[in-house]
Amino acid sequence: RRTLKLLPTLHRSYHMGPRSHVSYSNVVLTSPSKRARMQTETLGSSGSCTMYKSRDLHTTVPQHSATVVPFKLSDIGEGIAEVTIKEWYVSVGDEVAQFDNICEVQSDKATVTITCRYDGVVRAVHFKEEDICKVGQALVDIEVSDEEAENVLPSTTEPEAVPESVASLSAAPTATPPPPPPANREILTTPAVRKLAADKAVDLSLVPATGKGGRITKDDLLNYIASSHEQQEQQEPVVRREQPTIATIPTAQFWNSSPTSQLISATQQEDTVVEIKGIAKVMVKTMTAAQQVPKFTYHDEYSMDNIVGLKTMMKKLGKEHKIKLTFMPLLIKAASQALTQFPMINAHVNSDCTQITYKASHNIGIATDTPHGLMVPNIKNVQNMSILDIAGELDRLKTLSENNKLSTDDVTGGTFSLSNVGAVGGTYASPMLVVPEVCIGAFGKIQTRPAFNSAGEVYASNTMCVSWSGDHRVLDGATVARYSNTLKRFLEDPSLLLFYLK
Amino acid sequence: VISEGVDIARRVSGGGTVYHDLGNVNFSFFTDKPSHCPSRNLTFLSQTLNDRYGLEIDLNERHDLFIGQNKISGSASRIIRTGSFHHCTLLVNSDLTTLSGILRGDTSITSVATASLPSPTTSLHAVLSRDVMTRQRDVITPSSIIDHVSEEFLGLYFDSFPAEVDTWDEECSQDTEKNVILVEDIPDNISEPHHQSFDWIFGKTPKFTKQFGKVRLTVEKGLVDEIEGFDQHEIIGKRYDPDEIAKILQKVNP
Repeated sequence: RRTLKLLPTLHRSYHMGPRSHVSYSNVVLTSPSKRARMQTETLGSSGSCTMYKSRDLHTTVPQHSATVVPFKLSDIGEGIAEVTIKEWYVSVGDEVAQFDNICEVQSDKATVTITCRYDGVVRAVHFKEEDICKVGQALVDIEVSDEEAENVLPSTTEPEAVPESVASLSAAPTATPPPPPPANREILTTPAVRKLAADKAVDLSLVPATGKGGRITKDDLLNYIASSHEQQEQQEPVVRREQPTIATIPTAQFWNSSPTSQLISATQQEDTVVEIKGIAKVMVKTMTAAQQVPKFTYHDEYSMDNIVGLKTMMKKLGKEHKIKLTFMPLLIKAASQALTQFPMINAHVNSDCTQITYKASHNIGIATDTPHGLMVPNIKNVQNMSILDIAGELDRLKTLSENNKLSTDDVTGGTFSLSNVGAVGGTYASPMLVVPEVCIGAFGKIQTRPAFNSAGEVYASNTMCVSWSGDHRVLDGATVARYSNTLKRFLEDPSLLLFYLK
Repeated sequence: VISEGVDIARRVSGGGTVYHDLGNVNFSFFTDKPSHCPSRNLTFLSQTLNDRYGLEIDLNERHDLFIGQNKISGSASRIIRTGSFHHCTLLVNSDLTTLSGILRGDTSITSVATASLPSPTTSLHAVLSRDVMTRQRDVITPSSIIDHVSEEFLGLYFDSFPAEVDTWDEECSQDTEKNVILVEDIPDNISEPHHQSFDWIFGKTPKFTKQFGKVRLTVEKGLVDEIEGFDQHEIIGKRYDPDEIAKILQKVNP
């Protein structure tokens, strides 16, 4: 019988989840240790979580240095915009730690257990069971220590976005299943052994197998590694090494020109050969595919004086809403607003170019430079988001991409892409399309240049170079030029956006 | 449901009610949280079936599978911090008469529960019976589908074909962080009494009201909470049992 018969115990994890469980009778169940520390009394009706009070609080939290932060329902993916709260696992006054279960929520597609992001004490619970909570709304407020607060609330500094070099990644095609791993088809072994072999950069076809049916066991692999190390020590060091230590560093860092890279030093003695793997390998594949699309580029300059003039307001709002507010969310929202007038720019083309799909949502991909390579996560439904919402989402995606924790949903489904290469530097670019999208834009650095005002006088103007690439099979230069002009109008006078507010 | 002798189970993944008999195949896809992607799983499933049996199964954004206008599969998911699963049904040759009888809603009940979105449901065999190619019905059985889909899945993810993963030996268990058990051992390992208890199955039911003629009952968490238009309060606090309640009401108001 060939079927897989293993079952990870997710049910068990769910069952043993919460640290303290609240039930809606007049009895409050808490863990024995907590009961010893707290005395609780219920106020009011049995229907609401927010009525619980506790005495003998915060013996572990210093009272003089604490901040209350909202813990928001983050994007669950799958296009879920709101959920129903099914069950609470905490109440006001509870001490919580990172990864504790907070509540269970349900959409029509999935039931999700939300776990806590911070250590602290619950200060407010914002919903009752059966209430509906939208993504981005605060579920609970948690009082955290000031040190923790610093991690939670990034300070608003100079607008620096999450840019990348000119090249862009095309989204994995959503219609087909992921391709099989490119190893030798005759090798029989478990995924765990495969992973170990990959980590150690061992070619499995060289490992002698002693397992059932010719399977390579973990011991086989370990023995092989041990014996090959012995052999290597006996040989002269060669120019081309089987397992150079540098090869275990993500290949993408070779292409990353950030100052922290210390890989290829000027004093390197010999050539180093590294296999192109992982994200870098995907980039090879997708760029090759993107190159098949006949594309044209169009450039322009936008006057960013009025946008730069909003900096003070943005700093203030950023502090108020405890988010990092840069120009990028503004650019993204304006680009989306312009897309509503140019649906052909927010479109997909199929592989043999026989159909164009005008996409309803503006899922705007943001080319992101990370230590692991180039990634293009996208922000879903920008047309329904405020600039502040977009800033929050951008931050979330940036954090995930830095840790290589983007979900499949984050990097698929994009309809239009932007690159803020200007945050690194540069003026004009020639970005590659994110197939099957038909258009991509790249923003250069905002520079101070001399310009003429309406009175014919020279003044110092903030100018940004903009580059657009379009799929020339379906878009013509005039269309992209008009789209760019529309966006330019919004950015040169942002008050125009007011009149399109829904 | 009771008269047909059909059991009720409540799953951890939420979503709408589904009817299972031996003509239905369930697929569960377990992944880590970032890899949770029902559309990928359903695309794999539908393409595998289409390629193998010459069908035209589509999927929609609600993670349903369709042949034409008729739904043949529904999905639900569960996501926790350390992992997730997506599972779906596939009606192969289920008893559609019983299914539609059982899934018909009770219009005398009002509640705030997430409204179910019923779709006309069919099974693969029902669709194919309208087809000229009736030979396919002999080939398309739950067990042949299970065999074929597992082979495709193993070929895709385990990169060796044919792979015989019929036991999970100790050496593999050591590599996994969580407990891994065989399906046969589940009843002994999972706390079965809990998932069969009234509290689990009915005890989390959202509040609803039900009309019995002039009498209105409010039921919360499976227990009768309030009663309007009826004097005797012995029903309050008891489990909601429509037959019993109807009998009690009958005695007083024949």
